[in-house]
Amino acid sequence: MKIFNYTLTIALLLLSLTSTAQQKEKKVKPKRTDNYIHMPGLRLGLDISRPFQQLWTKGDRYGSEFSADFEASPNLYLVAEAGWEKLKLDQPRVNYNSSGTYLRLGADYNVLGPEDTDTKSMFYFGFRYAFDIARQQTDSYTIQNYWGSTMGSFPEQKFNSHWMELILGIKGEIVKNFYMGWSIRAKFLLAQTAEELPEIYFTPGFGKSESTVALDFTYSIYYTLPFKFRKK
Amino acid sequence: MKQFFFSIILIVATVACKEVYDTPPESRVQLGLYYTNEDNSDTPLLTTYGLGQDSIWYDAENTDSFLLPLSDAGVSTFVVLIDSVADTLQIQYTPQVTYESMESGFYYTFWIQTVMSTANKIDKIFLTDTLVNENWHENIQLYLNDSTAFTVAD
Repeated sequence: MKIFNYTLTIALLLLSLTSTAQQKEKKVKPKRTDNYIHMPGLRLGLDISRPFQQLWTKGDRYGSEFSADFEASPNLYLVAEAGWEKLKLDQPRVNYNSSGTYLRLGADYNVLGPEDTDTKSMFYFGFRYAFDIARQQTDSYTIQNYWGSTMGSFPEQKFNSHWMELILGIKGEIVKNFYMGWSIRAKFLLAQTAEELPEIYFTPGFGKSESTVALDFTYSIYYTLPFKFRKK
Repeated sequence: MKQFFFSIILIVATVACKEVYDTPPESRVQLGLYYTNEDNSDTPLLTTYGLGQDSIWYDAENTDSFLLPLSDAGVSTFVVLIDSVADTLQIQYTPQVTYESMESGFYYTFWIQTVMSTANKIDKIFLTDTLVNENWHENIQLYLNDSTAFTVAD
């Protein structure tokens, strides 16, 4: 009887493992059929959210950002983004500003299958490596306590930063060659020029660098140049 | 329509909150009060103010420990009345500007060099920790005699 019980248990286990393996086999994703270049031209973009960042961040933050991307291989887009950003913080105890230019290089992979061969809208995951050349200056600071106020300032500090970004976004073709799209980004600070005092507060293109992780979003308009750089 | 108004309220709330800035921390020197006579279990009555300052820092409070703010000048002098007996306490130190955040600001960290006082109520001074930072902790121990205003007057 004992042997029968053991045999039954092992048989049931094997059966469940076999069915799990079969289920896994069923989940294998079919190969993509859209193995062709969807967008033969070069797409240029402008991030229209950059000038309005002061609406949701502390201080007066604004800038401009441009992008260019092209489909290097089916569904894989090489991307370059360049921008300029400034933050002015004028609060009762600190008067601070930081500005600089940045460049991001990376790729987006479109996971959206096309409805037909003309469909160029995309839902993508992306990766960027980014760096900036920037400066910050503490024009004045005030320390107050029982004995009164002390004022001081720090001279201009030049610095460089390197970071990477993981991106999720969409680009939808509204009319022929014109697109709109948004992306949400998780940014990870990799390295930054060390400053003794004060530390770097705002990194153009990255955001607040008090933390090594920052979240951001973009909202852009795009235009695909009507020149075909290669055959479709 | 309801969602529209909710969105407007959310935007207004976000914009209104975004310019709220915290105050930076402050480093204060902490002094402990101990009676030399271990049989004395009274809690000292403390009044203190900065020399040359108009406002009183502690006003007739029963306490066995107190905090003092330091100026950026490298030396701060206080008039300390314990059990109504007045002493002058002088602390010399090195101040250093410390960064907290651009949103809150800067504050001073201090390294105490010397502590001196008159000897009406204060018998002995022990400097236990020279670092005065935003994490307040005991830096100085003041050992007191049993005299009161009446015994001094006598």
